[in-house]
Amino acid sequence: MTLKKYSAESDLTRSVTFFDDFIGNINTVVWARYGAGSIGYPTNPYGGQLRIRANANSYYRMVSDNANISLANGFTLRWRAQIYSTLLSRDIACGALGAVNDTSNFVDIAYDSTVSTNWILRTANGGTLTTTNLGVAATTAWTDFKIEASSSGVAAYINGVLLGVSTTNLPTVALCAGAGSRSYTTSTRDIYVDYCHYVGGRV
Amino acid sequence: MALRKLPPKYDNSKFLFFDDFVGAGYEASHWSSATTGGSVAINPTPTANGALRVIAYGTMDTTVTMGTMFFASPSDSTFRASVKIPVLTGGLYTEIGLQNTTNYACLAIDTGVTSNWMVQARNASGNTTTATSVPVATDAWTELQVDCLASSVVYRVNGAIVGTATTNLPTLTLSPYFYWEALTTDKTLLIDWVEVTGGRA
Repeated sequence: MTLKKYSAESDLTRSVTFFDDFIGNINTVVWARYGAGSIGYPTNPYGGQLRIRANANSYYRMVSDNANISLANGFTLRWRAQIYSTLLSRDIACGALGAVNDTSNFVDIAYDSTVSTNWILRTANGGTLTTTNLGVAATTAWTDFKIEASSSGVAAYINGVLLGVSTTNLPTVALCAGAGSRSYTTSTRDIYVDYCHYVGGRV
Repeated sequence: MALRKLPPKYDNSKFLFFDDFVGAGYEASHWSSATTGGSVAINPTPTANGALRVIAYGTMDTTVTMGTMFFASPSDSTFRASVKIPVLTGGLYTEIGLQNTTNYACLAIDTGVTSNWMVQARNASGNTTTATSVPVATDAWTELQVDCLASSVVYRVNGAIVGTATTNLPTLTLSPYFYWEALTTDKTLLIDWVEVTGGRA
């Protein structure tokens, strides 16, 4: 019997690497869900995906139930996600939260139809928010979101392009990955997530 | 149960699924099984590295799949698995690879036809199954590989190409598939690990 060893790629120092390709059912040991909505499974996607559905006039999110990264130790966080079908009357967020249900401390790349038609970078510390307009229109296409975070600031990349930096209201608490969908109407709102990947200094 | 999901460190344009079957039981959020007589469990001996043990009782069959969770492109994915077949005596029929309903890209054994590996490509229109010249080795860890490409399916045993199919290629999104049927006496299959990689939608 062989035990595969990925030593060439592994980093066994006190750092953390996390990757979920969302193949199969959601790993409920890792991902906690909050709000009014549901997790679903798009039919026959290549690579595996999850659907995050917010019920009407509700906010629903999934959060990795382990706050093990921080700006103080630095991290790079990536989500590949897609706004499903329409941009209207909705809010989506892909980033990291201070805890599973923390709306006061977070860093994310978002689309909020009540704020802008563009992608925005948000940093929040203790309930005080900084919003940075990234100047690129949100779309319903698959999008690679990347956040590079350190104690001096947060940089936002969309599809590999650096679009903005925030240096104020940086969260100081330990963070966990999170993604969510919000509906501002009587209709449900879906986003699909393809993978979540982060590396960083362990808290 | 430890399910290893490793980051495609330098290429997130590809998905990667890997399970080493380490732990006390297989991950029920991913794997499912059905049997007319048999069992599926993490092999208790040896306990160190872990392998999935699939048993089919005489004339019965056991199937291990990922249910309806299909995720591998029929034209851009690679299935690999390390398996051990203790004995062929008594007769065996098996299909190992990628599958979705009527669509298959598998390496197969049918001792009623040959004791060599066979390669199988199948869709709703037809089934192309061809015997190879490579005998099935018993009681030896064997690495199987199936590459689903745009215009062919390529099959490997221990790294060597043993067959290529160009007709009746699968068209549906696929997932890992282990069909294990004992023709007369009980049969055991051990699966050390499974890996599937490929392009994203």
